[in-house]
Amino acid sequence: MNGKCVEIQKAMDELFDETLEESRADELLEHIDGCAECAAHWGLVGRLRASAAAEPTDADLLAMRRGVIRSIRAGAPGTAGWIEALRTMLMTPAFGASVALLIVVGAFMAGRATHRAERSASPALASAGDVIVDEIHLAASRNRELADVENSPFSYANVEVEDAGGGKLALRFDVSRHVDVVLPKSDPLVADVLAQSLLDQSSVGSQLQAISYSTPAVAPKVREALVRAMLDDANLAVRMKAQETLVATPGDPVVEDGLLAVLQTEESVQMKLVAIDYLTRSKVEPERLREAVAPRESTAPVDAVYVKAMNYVNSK
Amino acid sequence: MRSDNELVDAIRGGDLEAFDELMRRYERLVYRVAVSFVSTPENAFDVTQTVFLKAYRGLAGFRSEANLKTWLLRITHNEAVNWLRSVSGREAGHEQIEAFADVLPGGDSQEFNLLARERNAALERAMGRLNERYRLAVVLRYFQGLNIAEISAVLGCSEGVTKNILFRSVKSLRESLAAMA
Repeated sequence: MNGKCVEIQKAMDELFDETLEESRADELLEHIDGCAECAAHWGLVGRLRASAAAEPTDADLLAMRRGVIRSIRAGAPGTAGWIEALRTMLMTPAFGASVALLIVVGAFMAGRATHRAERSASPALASAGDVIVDEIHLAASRNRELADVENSPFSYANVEVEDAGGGKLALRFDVSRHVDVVLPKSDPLVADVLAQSLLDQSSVGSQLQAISYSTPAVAPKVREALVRAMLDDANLAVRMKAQETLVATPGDPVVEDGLLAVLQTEESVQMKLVAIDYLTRSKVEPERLREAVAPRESTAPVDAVYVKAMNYVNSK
Repeated sequence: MRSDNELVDAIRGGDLEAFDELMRRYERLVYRVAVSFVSTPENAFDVTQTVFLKAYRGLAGFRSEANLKTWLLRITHNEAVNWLRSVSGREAGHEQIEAFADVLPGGDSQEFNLLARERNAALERAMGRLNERYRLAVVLRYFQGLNIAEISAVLGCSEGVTKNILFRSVKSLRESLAAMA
């Protein structure tokens, strides 16, 4: 597969949607006819489009809607509600970390949970929720003044309050706690926090900071997150920073694959040149490099990236 | 027909009929995306129900200038991923592969042929190997027919990045299918 094939395959969606000009569509179809690689890609895109799941029945959808409305009217979580709440609590890494640190060092880690003040009949939910609720309840009982509340280690968001009758209020909210902890670089929590942070595109600053402390050697998941950020992040600074970190580890096959993808899909010439530097130092197979930098159009001007890559290819 | 924003305003005012209308408007989309992740209709209905309950609770914080469809799809994705993570990978994978053919058109008809069933199972297995973000992009683009701009809004990235994700997803699916052949 060369650069022309990449370009054709990226345009296949528009071909299916019939949004391409006729001459361009003819050009693509002609290429697909003569290229086994693109024909296979075209076939799979068509197959995917034909694989849509069966329609749900009206009766099932009606039952689903009734279940939702019934739960809302009852003011109770309902089946789906408690499953969701349980999943949220049990599957949140920070919650797991909270419990672990409670046991090990007696220090409470961060948790984020959705919980009703009225306890569920589910033993698992009650157990998981009690840990969080007991902690924040204790903190609330110690907060005497407004200043204490403002300085509370816990903060609440997405708060909903309902009258539950009998002098009670039903509370639903998210709770989070700032965490300040020192852990070995090899700790799994370090890897998880770094990986999540560097993929969270809501804060470029946090992403860059996370990347600066990430190395592919920390954990495979961090390396994978770095590669994903290098290829997919919307911010060029993040993509470049991720690449800078990855190329510091020579001879890594995963990094090589990622950098070959950079040559095919990245628009930044600087990133492409960095990729070629790494790949030539790693003595990547010349044919793979040739394919990655092949011009998309036969009439496309030869650029610095192509020249640099071909100097290496021709020297082999 | 009331607009999405009019429905949201009415729901905030306690109008449950408006919420029912909102569900009817988006239930098939939410269900189809959910079933693409969790495979069995039963699980997909569980996820769909959870999505709408969560949406109802979250409508207070929904910004009217945001796109309701995009917002619901994000919740759907999160809930589907939570569901997948709540089941052990081996169990979920087995269940998904076994069940996938049953949710395809004609899956329960006499005309359903074994070859198609095997091919669809292989495709589902390959889909299961995509990371969640890539899988969502494929589901929204090819199963639901959303355009690139809509998918970009759900994924929170540029259209160029979305195109790259789709390209790499299909490439990865082809490689997985070739390895299974």
